[in-house]
Amino acid sequence: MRDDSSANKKSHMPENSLMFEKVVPVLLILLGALTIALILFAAAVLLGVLHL
Amino acid sequence: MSVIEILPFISTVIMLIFTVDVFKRYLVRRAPHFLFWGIGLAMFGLGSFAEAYLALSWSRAVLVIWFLFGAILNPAWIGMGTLYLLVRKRWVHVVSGILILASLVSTVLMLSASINDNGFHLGTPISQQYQAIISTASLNLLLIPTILFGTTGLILLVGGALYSAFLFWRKRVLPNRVIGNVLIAAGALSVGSASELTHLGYGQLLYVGELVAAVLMYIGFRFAAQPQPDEAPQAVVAAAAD
Repeated sequence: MRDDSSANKKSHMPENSLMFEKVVPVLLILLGALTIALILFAAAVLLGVLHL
Repeated sequence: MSVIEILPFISTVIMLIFTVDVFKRYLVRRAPHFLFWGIGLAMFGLGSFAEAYLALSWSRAVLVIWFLFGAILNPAWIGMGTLYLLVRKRWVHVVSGILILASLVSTVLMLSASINDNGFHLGTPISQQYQAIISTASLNLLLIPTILFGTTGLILLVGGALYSAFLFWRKRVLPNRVIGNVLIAAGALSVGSASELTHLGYGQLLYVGELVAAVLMYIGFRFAAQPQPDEAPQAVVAAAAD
């Protein structure tokens, strides 16, 4: 017999978790900002604004 | 051989395991995103293998493999896999056709590049000396596909991973896929940043960036592919895809 409450816990985020409440959103923002910075850098090189 | 030149050997082994894992999933599910991921990861692995080879000996063909697969093509092919996963529309096939054509054009450009064999010095990582081996005119020509493929791949792979992580995080479900996608995005950004720094003359960071990328992306992929306890067996295989 399957333990539904245990299964449900594992497929949902734990409540009051520092990892999911704080760390993950900060990482998403930081990684998103780095992605945009790299895209802007590449665009600057392609457009000739920045010379390698 | 310097310590830094040992890193591509480790990256090659990790990428080989990663690629085999992805192709195995393709053989089970026959989903195009696994095929494109597998091809892109194999290209990444070939690039690492070329770096390892060039740490031991010179070969013009291996240099071509390194630049073509390791520097130009692999990000866009991995990103194409992510596009196939996230968008189930017919126009995606058109995009993949454009990718294949652009890859062929890049291959021709790479094969016609002017290469100075005497510029190679054993004991220096290829990422720190390729500008002395490939002519400036050829590098300028190859810079366009390198940036276009790299940026497209970055947008698709990192953007797709962050978008997926955000969706699961917002719905408060599947924490393994949140973590997995964050790791994949971080890994892809690691090698993306290292590549751009290499263009700026900091080639010594490329091997570290690649190793970090190989480790993070593989762990992220395994994390995201973990079966959930309340999923049906059929969905367990599908978990790897999302």
